[in-house]
Amino acid sequence: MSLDINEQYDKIYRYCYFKVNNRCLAEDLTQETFLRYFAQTSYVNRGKQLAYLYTIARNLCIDFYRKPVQTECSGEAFSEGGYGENRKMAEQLSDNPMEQVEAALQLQMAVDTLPMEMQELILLRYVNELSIKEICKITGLSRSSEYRMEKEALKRLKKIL
Amino acid sequence: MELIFDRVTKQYKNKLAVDRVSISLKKGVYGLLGANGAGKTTLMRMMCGVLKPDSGEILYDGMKVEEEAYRDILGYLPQEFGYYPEFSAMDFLMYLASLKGIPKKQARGKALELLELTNLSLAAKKKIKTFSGGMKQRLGIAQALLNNPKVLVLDEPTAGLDPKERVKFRNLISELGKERIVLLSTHIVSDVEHIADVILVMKAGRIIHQGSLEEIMKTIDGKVWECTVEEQRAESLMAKYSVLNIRQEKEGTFLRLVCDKKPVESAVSVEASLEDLYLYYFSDTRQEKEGKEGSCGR
Amino acid sequence: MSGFSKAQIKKELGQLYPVAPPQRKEEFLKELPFPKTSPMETIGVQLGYIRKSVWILTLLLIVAALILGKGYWKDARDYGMLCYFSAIMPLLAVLAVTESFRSSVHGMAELEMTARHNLQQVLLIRMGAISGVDFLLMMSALPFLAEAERINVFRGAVYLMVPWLCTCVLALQIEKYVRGRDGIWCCCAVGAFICGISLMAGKIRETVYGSGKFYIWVIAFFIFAVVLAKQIWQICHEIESWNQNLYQPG
Repeated sequence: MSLDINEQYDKIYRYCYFKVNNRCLAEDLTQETFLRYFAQTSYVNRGKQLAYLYTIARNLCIDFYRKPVQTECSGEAFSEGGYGENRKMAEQLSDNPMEQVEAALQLQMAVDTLPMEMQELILLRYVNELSIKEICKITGLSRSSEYRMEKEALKRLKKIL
Repeated sequence: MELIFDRVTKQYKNKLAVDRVSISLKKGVYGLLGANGAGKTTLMRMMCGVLKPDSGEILYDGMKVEEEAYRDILGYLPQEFGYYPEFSAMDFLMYLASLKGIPKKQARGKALELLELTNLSLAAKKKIKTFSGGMKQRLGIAQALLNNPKVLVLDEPTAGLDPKERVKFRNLISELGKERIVLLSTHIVSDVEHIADVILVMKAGRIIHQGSLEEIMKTIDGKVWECTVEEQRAESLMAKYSVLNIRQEKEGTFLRLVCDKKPVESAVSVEASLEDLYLYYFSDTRQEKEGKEGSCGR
Repeated sequence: MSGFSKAQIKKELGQLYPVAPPQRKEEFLKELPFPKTSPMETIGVQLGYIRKSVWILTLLLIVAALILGKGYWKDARDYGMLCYFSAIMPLLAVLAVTESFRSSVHGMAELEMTARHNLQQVLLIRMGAISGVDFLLMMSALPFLAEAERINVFRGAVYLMVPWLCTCVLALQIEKYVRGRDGIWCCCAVGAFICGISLMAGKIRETVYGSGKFYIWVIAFFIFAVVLAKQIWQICHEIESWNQNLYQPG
């Protein structure tokens, strides 16, 4: 069954934001990702196709750093406050009891201390719910490396918290 | 966004339905005006990739119209269409949406939106066999829009619509024509008058005129006359010129006709309408006179 | 705070990296003509539109053939069962063809031709699906047949395929020239006719199904198969010539 584009848009957007830290730019990159993907295929399935979608996004983000392009977004402040800020914003809209909110904030800050590769893995695996196989196709690392990294990440987090 | 016809020809047995048509269509609403058998439907079918031309080709932005990618951006309303029995309006739209490759969820949303647009929301679940002619026509228009087409081909779209529906339809088409290529063929001259940006006059398989309303009208501008004469005179006039309207009145026979010069002393020059042009080109008497020496004169 | 279990951490991780919702999503997705249905989905949807009565009838015919033929199980070399099975083959073929050509009966053909998955694809999917099911059912009935008649499976297959192919070929030709409802009736008539011949051939079973004459069946098989292939190719590439009457000059 092909995937719901609505949902995937949000997920790719989140991924791009993770990479470039700018909402407007992230959305531009998200849209460009979809346009490029659909120039070749007409639907998205789990597995190879989904991985390809993310790969396009990833490459676009990398390209952006290599040669920053003038977009509508360039005017805005480039880097917005980190995820801590976003978290606080999201909290005001949610109705989580206070303790959970504190814990979530702590977790986010803990994760922020991890190396980028691990953070990417966490985002793809737990937040965007991709399979290890799909993630391997995106990052280019082997299955065992991914597993190892995941284990290491959880270990470190446990230590911090 | 350009649809190019390059010397497109189609022949049926001993009749040339479309004769070396070469036109280029861009964004906007095009009205295809022509008599029955002029080749309109054939031309439209070729435009949809349904018929293959005998010679020549039709390209959309360089892409052949036979390709699947073209059908993706095409919306077509044929002159007549049926439906699988037991289908409701919603079923019909969902079925065609599936053929157009639209996933179910999106299809449902789009179908509801289009039913709203064509005022068929209340009849969504009703069976099409209970529909009136006008409702069925509106459903046809709805299905043509399912895939957000960039090229919209409508064959006699206002047939069966009452005046109120026709006005609503005209507005819809005008709106759509802003960002799309819309080609509609119709006998109803007033539709063409009001919505077409460009009018294409088709006769015997060829496009004999192409242009805006003003440009087209130049052909018979100042050539439409009205007069009232006695019967004998009327008959001789009718034999010589194309008569657009004839009426028996107390004073004699009222005639509205086309002529280069004033046909009789008492004749008055009147403003030509598109209807006049249509009759001028497509009335039977005109066909006969084609054989004889054309223009008016004494 | 401290003392989180691994499981708890994993759960919480799912909530990380929040970001404010995207601003231009609605607009973008509205204009995006994708995604389209995958080929599998398209076929699946089309299969769903095949009338249930077709499947039911197919099953009934097979069951009828089995029941009627069962009487002959004991008599070896009587070819009775074969007779009944080859009698239902034309009927199955007619079902397949008439169901596939429903579009023209109900005036949907022109609309379907301009869709992404056009009439040709629709026809092929329907024909393919129903023939496929017929084929599978036939294959599963073959071992019984072969055993009952003491002939090998390959021979049994040919005996069954020939009437099926023959009827398909004729039915497709009819659909090419005869429009709408009339076309359906003609196909049914042809199917019934060939069915009748099969049943009557029962009288001279020995001659018809005897090993001596098998080569005729093989030749017929190839001829019909080739003609059918050509017809299908024509449907795919020259659909115009297929539905002449659709295109009255206008």
